[in-house]
Amino acid sequence: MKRALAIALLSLVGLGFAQVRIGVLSPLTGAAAGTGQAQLRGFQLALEEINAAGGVLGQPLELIVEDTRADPATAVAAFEKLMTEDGVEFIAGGYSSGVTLALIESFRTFQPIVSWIGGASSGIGNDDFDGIEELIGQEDWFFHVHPWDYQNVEATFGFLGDLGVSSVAVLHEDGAFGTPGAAGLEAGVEAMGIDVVLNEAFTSTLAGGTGDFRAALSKVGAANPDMLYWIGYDSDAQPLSSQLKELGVAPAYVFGAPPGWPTGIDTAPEMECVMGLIGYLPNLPNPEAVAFANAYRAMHGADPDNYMAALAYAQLWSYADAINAAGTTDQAAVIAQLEAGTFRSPMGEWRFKPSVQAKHQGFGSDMWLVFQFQDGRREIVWPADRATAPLAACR
Amino acid sequence: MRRRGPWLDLLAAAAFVALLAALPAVLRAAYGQASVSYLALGIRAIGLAVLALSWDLVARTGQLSLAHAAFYGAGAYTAAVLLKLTGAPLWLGIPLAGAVAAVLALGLGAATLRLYGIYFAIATLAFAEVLKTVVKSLPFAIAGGSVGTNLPPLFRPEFVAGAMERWEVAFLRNRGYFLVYLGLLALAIVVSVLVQRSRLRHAFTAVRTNEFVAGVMGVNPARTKLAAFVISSAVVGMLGAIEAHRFGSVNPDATFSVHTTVLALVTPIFGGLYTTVGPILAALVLSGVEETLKRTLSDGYLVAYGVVLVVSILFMPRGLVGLFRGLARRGRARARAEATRPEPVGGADA
Repeated sequence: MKRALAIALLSLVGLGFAQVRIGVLSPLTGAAAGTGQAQLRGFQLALEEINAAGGVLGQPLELIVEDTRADPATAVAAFEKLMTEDGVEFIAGGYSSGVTLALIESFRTFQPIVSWIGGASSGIGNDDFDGIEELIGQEDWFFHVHPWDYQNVEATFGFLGDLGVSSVAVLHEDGAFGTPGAAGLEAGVEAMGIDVVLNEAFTSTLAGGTGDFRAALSKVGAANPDMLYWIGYDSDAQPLSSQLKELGVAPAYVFGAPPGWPTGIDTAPEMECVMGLIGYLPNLPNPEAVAFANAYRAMHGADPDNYMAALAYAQLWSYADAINAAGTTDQAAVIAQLEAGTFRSPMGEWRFKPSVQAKHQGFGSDMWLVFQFQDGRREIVWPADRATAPLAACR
Repeated sequence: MRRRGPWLDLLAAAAFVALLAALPAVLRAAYGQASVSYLALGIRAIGLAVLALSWDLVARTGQLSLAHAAFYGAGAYTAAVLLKLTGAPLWLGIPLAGAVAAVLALGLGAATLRLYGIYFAIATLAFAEVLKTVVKSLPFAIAGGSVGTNLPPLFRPEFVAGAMERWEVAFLRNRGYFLVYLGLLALAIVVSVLVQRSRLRHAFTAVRTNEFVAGVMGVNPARTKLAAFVISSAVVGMLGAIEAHRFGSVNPDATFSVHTTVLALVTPIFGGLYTTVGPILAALVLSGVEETLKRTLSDGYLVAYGVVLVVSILFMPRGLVGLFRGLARRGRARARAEATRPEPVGGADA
């Protein structure tokens, strides 16, 4: 009897504390596991800091992490578990446009606050396809952290305009990522008065390709462009760069546009002078970047080499700050704070603002940096005000 | 001995499907709002069962088909393109997807079913790549090129739900999909049982065992293999169309993913090849084991899941069905031995 009373009393005391639980959906296994694990490491760091700083609403914040495997069916079941079994009111994480599109009906039904990192598909400029931005961008409860695909392109064109090349050869993987990307790049580059001397498709090693790019690279050599711009996956980076050197094809600039770069690639000699776009680098010249890198190293024992960790860190802190500022988990109050607040991130302060179609867009084209592999590390070479080293030509 | 007809099996299958059809109501009564996610898991398991059972149909003729992703994708794109071009009712896309997949299978089968073993497998694997390339090359306004295209859901209960709670709306949507998937599974079971309990079974087995001898015995191997291939593809095509609506979009890389083919063949191998029960049992068990491991071993569940699969394949070469049959046989033998053992002299206490 005494035991039952004690349990009842403890339960009542427990009910008095509003512990906030945030559901995380990330691809922790499967083809996109690298990105998902990077997100997880960013969340873990932010969680530790948030709880060390007093938690959320006076209680430790709790994360309930679900693996989506970047698979639509798994992601839908995981989201519905978070909603109906775990009773979370806030969703974080997110990656893959296909998975996000599959989740939209469920998002609409439950309408928790969804702060979504990935899923960059907007459909802007494409009349026959509705992307995530058109489908749920106008919802009060939807917050999108990563730039949209057209914002990525804006950054690329900004860089190319400043670089002043006159001819570009484009190699792209022949899937949903590379083909539209190359088409958009070609149209935009030509509008800038730059000649596209080659636009060639290849099968990515990720999609079962052999990893032999010699035929396409020979065409690049014959076209003799100022710049080679390739769009493929992480696993294409090293064989493509190494075969470029092997064939002696040497455009002045080589720009790679995979969604992420393989861990440990920085010191590979064939990567020297290759450039790429990235959202965060530990050598960004702002104190938040340095603090994040130090704390990340202390927790995980390595440098953050995927910018998704920085975005996840920023996302979780935005939730913690907004809920604390609201002083409640009431949805309208938290949305108001997410809309009004300015949040911390390794890239500096940021806030949600409208994009072309969405009400709440986090980072935009200005998040992007161009780095270049120089002497075994990534140096920021663009934009000029954040550059850590001058851009080097490959020939 | 006269072989029994399909009626008993069909009756058992009907009881099984009826039992599953009652599951949404049972889950709702037992788990309330948590029933939504349990139903989502059920949908995944039944989808896997359909995939596995349809692959097993082709395997029964001795062919190792690696074309399931192709027919799944063909079905999904049929639904998407039909809607885009004609605005036809959503539900019409599902049988049509089955028909298009069947016609494609007829063409592919006629061209490749003369090949044996690994050669047939490679030809069918290549077919998925060919279809993917064709879909990418279709005019953008029709299939969306490499980006793909959107489809509306089959169920939108919130439009009629009024003041229902959110979880109830999700429950209604999931129940709708659960029943549609179950309907397709019922169709696959009926086909499988009819094949299993008719002369076709002998034809399938004869072709699988020795095609030349089967031919001498009056079985037409080409027609037999083609029939299995076409029926199997029609079922998978319909599954592709239903899932395209459920996930709201199709795109070439995801829709024609080789992952679909791998799931289609691993599951029946785990359950027991050439049976109706094996692939279904395997789909239900594997989905259940995976989810349970995920909930109990959040960090290493895939390793544990992999170990379960490898150990099962090593120690259960005939799958779950083989294991159960072996246990039953041993049980019967023990019972027989008990029954025929002479009574010890002096009674049991001696």
